[in-house]
Amino acid sequence: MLTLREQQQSLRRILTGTPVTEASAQTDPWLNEVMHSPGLAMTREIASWWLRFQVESQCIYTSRLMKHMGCYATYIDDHFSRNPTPPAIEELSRHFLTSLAAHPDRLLRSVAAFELECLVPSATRQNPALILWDRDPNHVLTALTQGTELPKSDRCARYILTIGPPSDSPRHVSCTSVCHR
Amino acid sequence: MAGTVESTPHRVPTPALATTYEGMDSDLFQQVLPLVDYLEIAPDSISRTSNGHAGALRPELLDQIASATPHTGLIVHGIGLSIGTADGWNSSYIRLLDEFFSRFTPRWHSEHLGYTTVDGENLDTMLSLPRTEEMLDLLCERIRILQERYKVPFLVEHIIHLLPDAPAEYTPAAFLNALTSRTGCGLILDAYNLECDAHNFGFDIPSFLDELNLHPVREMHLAGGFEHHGFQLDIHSRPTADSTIALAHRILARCPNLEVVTWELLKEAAPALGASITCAELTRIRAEIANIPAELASC
Ligand SMILES: [Fe+2]
Ligand SMILES: [Fe+2]
Repeated sequence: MLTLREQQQSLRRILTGTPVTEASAQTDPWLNEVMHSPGLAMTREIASWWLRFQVESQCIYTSRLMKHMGCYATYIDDHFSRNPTPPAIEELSRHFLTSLAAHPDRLLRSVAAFELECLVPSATRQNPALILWDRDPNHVLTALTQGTELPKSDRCARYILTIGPPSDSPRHVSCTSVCHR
Repeated sequence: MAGTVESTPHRVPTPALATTYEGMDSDLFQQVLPLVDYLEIAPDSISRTSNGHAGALRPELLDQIASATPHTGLIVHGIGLSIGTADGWNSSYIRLLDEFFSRFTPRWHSEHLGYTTVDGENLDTMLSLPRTEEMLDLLCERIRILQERYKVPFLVEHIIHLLPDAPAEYTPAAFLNALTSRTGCGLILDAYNLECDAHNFGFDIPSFLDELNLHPVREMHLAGGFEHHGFQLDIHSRPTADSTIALAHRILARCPNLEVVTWELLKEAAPALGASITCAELTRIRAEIANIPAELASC
């Protein structure tokens, strides 16, 4: 007989596709029924929708870019199946954006880094954040907002987006281009 | 096991109308406000990350809510308390509630009979609770803490089931009857959730309503969702179906203390539905809840 806590822990493992290891859970008739129920796939699918909705609402530019690249849903499913979802939904976006720091796509790294920096409360920012872009970030963000074509990588220049102090406004955002030829 | 509770039908006064508030576009907000008596606030949905920690309500949304309060009442409906988690509820949700109550006094607050976290990990969904004596004890203790802490009525809402029920010692109605009688908490009856359960696994709504003590029912939820892979889902994205309205009439006719009917709509679904359909739906529900068919009202 499983305790309430064991019951809930086993159900969590089943939902996340993690093997249920305890012998008592492996032989529990109700957990076996759950594992073979049509509602299990539906429950997992709803969890995935929920995650995508949450991330989309908080990481607008990054999720739009990833949808444009055709990798959003699979990335979310893969990322959160390998990493525990933070208990507070508000932490989801930070977790998700941080994970993209090593993504092979340079533009995606820049957009994610930008949104991650935007989550930092202005009053707590000590130093400016510098984000390197391979194309004009103003044009990128406009295209993602309006759903228009993204600019191509600029072969002649790099752009440095600066967020935060030193400036009059702690939320100050500025952009400078650097010719690299 | 609790027995059947007699529920004599009553002619009830017209309940107030509420709708979900999870932050709202200001145009929609201005259009919706004159149509409702209450906003049903989901604290989880109006919170933001603060300094790396959840637990702060968004000040601009609190201001928007405050702008409504001279004329519109507030009720609170949580999502993330995870009241049934064996190893403890979600204390960051309690911090959100504390913050909300420091600024507003809602008519009541409520939570789902379910759990969303295990060992501090989010399940990304809400699972139903086993209807056992052990769970009942756990819930009663936690409900008493909430009642003591916030000094306004606390209501619980039944959720839909997609997975087979865990072994139970109570019927669904008997479990709710035990919970309400032991704690004095109120109930939210969600007409659409009941329909989902009936569709998904043949839940017997008439028997449930016959067995349930309907006196603690203070609020009813209405919503519209959709079917996916054969499951009727509680993803509140559409106007209310006629069948849900018909069930709502039957519930209204039998619940003598039902004060508020809330039409639930997900924030994510609001743009697709549009302001005109949203407002038309609120107007329609207002008319429907004021007009219980005579054969139900008089029986
Ligand atoms: Fe609810
Ligand atoms: Fe509901």
